[in-house]
Amino acid sequence: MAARRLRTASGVATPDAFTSLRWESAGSGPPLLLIMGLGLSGGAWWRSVPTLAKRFRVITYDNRGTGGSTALTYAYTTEAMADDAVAVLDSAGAEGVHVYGMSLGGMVAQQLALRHPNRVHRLVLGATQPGGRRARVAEPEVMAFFQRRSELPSDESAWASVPYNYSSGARGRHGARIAEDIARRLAHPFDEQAYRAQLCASALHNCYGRLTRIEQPTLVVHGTADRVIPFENAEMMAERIPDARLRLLRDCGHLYPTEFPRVDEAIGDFLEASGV
Amino acid sequence: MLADTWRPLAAAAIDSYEAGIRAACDLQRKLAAAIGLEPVHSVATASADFTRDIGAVVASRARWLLDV
Repeated sequence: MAARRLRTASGVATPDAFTSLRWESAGSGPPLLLIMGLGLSGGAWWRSVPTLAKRFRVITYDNRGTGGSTALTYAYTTEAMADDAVAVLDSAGAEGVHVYGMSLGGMVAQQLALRHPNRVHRLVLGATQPGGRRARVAEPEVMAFFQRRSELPSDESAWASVPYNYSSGARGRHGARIAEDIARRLAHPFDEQAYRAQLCASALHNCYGRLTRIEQPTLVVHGTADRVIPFENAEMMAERIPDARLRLLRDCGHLYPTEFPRVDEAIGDFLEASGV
Repeated sequence: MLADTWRPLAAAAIDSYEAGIRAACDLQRKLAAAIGLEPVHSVATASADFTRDIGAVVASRARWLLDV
């Protein structure tokens, strides 16, 4: 796919003198903030941005320690990452937005909706989990891989993660797409300490008991073949969030937009239904 | 495991703790904004962040232990 990354504006949010969070926006329309997951920069949304930017002003950003964002200290909690997201919104001049988070980004999105409810219109939680003792964790082999991943060289680590991030079907059918993803990922710097901090944030995340307080209409999206975050977490979240609907993608893995790119159209439909 | 009757009380206690942490953070940020002078401003902001993160870790672990 020769998808071009649309770029219409960019900036840097500076919540303090030592922190700079690089953001970009593309398209026009109601603002939509995309929050990426573990160790990945905002550029990892490259597959979704062209589709969503046809209907929204799509804002992506690099979490602390990824891509072009730097900080004296990394964010070790999803609460801190949610506050970073608010700093990005302030810098981008977006007051209220739709929010779509994937994986760790979905955990940050939950915190954003709970900590700053006035800033969030609609919520999309992709391939994520609520935390707490009732959340379903991955198999020990998967957990062990992600814990030692930062010790591997970048390219080796990216390729070694393929069996975990993509379903077996996708590995057979969409090898070229997976190679594109990895080429994009390797183009951005990878900070080992930031990765470890984000792992810590993921492990500490716990919104399970408060999901019932999320008031925004929410779409929960998950692949049924996700090995990183089992899809039972999506069912649990959809059950607990009062105004939630669930979209399970059959036989899709953790990074489902690569395996089923049309899901972005469905997400756009859900977000646009609000008319905000 | 707490009996179901105790769970709402435990949840309310953790909510209160979180509200207190948040108020403390907001106060520190307001002070930081009022000072406005670097590097004092950034140090005060970092202090607010530290308070937030420690509070978040404690609340998260408490919610996990009490299953609320």
